[in-house]
Amino acid sequence: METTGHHTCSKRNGRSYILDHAPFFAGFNEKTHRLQFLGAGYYFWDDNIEMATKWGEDHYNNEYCILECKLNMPGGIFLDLVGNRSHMRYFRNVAVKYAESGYAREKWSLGSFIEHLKMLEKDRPGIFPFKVIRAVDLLPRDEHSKWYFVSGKRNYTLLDPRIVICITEKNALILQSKKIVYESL
Amino acid sequence: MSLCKEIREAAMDVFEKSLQLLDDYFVNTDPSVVGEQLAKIDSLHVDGPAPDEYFAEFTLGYPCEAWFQTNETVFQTLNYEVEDLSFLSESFNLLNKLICKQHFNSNLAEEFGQQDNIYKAA
Repeated sequence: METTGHHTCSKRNGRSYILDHAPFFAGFNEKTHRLQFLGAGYYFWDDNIEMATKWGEDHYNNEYCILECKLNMPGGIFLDLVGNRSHMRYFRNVAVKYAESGYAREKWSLGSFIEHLKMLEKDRPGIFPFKVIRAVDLLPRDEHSKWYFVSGKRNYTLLDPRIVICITEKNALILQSKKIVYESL
Repeated sequence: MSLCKEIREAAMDVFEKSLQLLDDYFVNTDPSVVGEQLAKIDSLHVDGPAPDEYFAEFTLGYPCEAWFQTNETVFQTLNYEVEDLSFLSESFNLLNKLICKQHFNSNLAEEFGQQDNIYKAA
């Protein structure tokens, strides 16, 4: 599967530096003492230049560039928590395994499980082979994105969801091309 | 690796293999080692949201930034000790800005799973 990823970064080091080094790694946030949503890695908005723009305005004081990358997400290393129920079921089962083994971690976030599994993968190849993880980022205020299926019913779907992609390593198989598509003034 | 085991592993998809390896890890690893590895992640976890993150969430797009700024200390405390909701209610009544109140309450309720109590208090 392929998609377009948008990555926002500071523009302070210039375009050539960005093209050489971006995307940039997002690790444990010391300031907020929080893990990244999907653990440490290189983050993209899935085909969402609007969110990349908003991110730049909010987090980079309006001094940012947006990098657009062609991302390849091959089976076997792609964990799709957006559009594949079997992948979602797998991850639920991971949490069940912890509980069944007497190591329940009710308070762990998605990012916590991912970080633990990545730690285990170093010594046990195959325990968490995923290099690309994708998930929907939802908030209660996402009203603008709601589309009701039919009138008179409360059932709806989202047509403008925020989808985040985290890749855990930069390689040519996953990151197939990149270009700067926006630079703030 | 025996041929039999190789064939069996090849037939397993990545997900089955992952879950099987996770089982093996829990069964075959010294519990103290597992405990240590879990503790590494536990140590990264904090209960409740980071204050500045909440500050941004609740104020985004709503006309109550000044109130939050002047009450930041109280607000930070509330993030971790959401017990004195009556105080919260009084503060918002003084503020008397309904849209801010509703937005704040709905986020707080979702985060702490205390929707009924919060709405009653507010």
